[in-house]
Amino acid sequence: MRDIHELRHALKAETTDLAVHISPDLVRHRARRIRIRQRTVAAAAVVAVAAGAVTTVTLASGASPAFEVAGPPPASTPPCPSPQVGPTGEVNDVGQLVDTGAVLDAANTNTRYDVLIGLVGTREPHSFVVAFRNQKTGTVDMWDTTLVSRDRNGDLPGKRTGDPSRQFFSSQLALGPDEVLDVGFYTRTAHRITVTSEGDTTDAATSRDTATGWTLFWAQRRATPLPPERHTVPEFYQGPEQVTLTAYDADGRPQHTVTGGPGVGGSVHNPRDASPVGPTSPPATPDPTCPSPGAPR
Amino acid sequence: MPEPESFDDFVRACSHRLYRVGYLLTGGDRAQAEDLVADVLARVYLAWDRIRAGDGYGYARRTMVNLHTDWWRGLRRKRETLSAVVPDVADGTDHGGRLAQQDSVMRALRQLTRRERAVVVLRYFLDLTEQDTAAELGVSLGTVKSTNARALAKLRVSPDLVEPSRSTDLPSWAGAPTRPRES
Repeated sequence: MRDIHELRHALKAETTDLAVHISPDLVRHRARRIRIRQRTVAAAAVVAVAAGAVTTVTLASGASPAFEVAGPPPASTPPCPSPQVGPTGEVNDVGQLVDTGAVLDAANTNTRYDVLIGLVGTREPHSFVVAFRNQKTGTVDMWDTTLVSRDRNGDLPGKRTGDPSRQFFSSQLALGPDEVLDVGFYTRTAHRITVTSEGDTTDAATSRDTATGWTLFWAQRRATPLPPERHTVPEFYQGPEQVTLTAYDADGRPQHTVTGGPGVGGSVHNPRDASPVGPTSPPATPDPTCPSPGAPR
Repeated sequence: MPEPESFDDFVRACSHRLYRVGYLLTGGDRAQAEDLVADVLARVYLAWDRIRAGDGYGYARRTMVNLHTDWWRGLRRKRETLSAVVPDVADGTDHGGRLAQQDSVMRALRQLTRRERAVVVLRYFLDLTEQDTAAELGVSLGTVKSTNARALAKLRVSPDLVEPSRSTDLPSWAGAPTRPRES
């Protein structure tokens, strides 16, 4: 074997005669086991978060870049409430985490993470979370938590009194130089949700949260990530990478659409970038704090 | 490939192709390759609704490469080791030169790290470009180039790939200078 051509040939010849029989039933059985394992881990993570130890990043309604960093914990941390029942007796878990199937490769720490999203907390208020499951250890960290509130009609309230309510929230995680994961939710039921940037449209995967009636969506796609400068421009970023979200009904008619603007196209804080970092980083939290069921801090 | 009508169709259409990739990634371990393919297809099944209209095979292939990397770590963590000892080929029966050469290829592949093997498989079995290989593995283009160079250098001096009749004429992959093999 003397050259690349022969190597190619040898690799192909080596495997040509292989025979394999994998039954779809075996695959389904294995898939069920995987799903059970994932749900077990996610449920454990929800309990862990309800017990504290989460960096809370809150969404200021209508603000851009949409995130405000939580301040330091109160000097005296009250005991954490039960993860099952809130202060007024409401059920304290509005949904499960959904595996987006995307993988964040944190090469800087030689770690890969599965990306999960979901709504956790009480029915009102609750948080949209992006969690990362360490593929080595299986542990789930709810890294990016956005506290959201609902208007009377179930939508997101406008920034100021009189501002129109909003139906979409989304943020973006750059998986690579030309690959992104857009995650978010739509405050209604949709038959189909699309994500568009630079003229390319991708169908998002969806999962309806029955407790809130909202529709979670996520789309892993080839696209130029939104530039970091989007957070520093005076108005909302309007470059070609800005994201357009559209929800369609069963007949294919658009129900709502939005391009950029408040609550659309934020960043997903993540363990790879150790974000939030820089001058806007929150002060170090020496002790775990309870997630606050009250207004955004 | 035409869009499969069902997941069962997809399994039938892609199992063999995936198995070939898995076989090479695992260094020729048929049982592990089959287990790997089953794991990959299970994940495809879980994501079927959103990938059925797209490149399902591409998704499965990417999952396989990623899973293999993590799987290998898992095996190491559980203290189950992939055998570093290559089983003997000869059992008294001469299966011919082709079989011997095939086994030598797998032996040579086993000498590579998992990432090196993945790069070789993606580049020279799946014929991906360096850019696509980088995207598939989630590493930089420079990492692919350096890993590929290291892998080829190892293969170049692998005693398993030196033709007996040309034991002093070593392959000159990647433009590296040839030199006699040290015995």
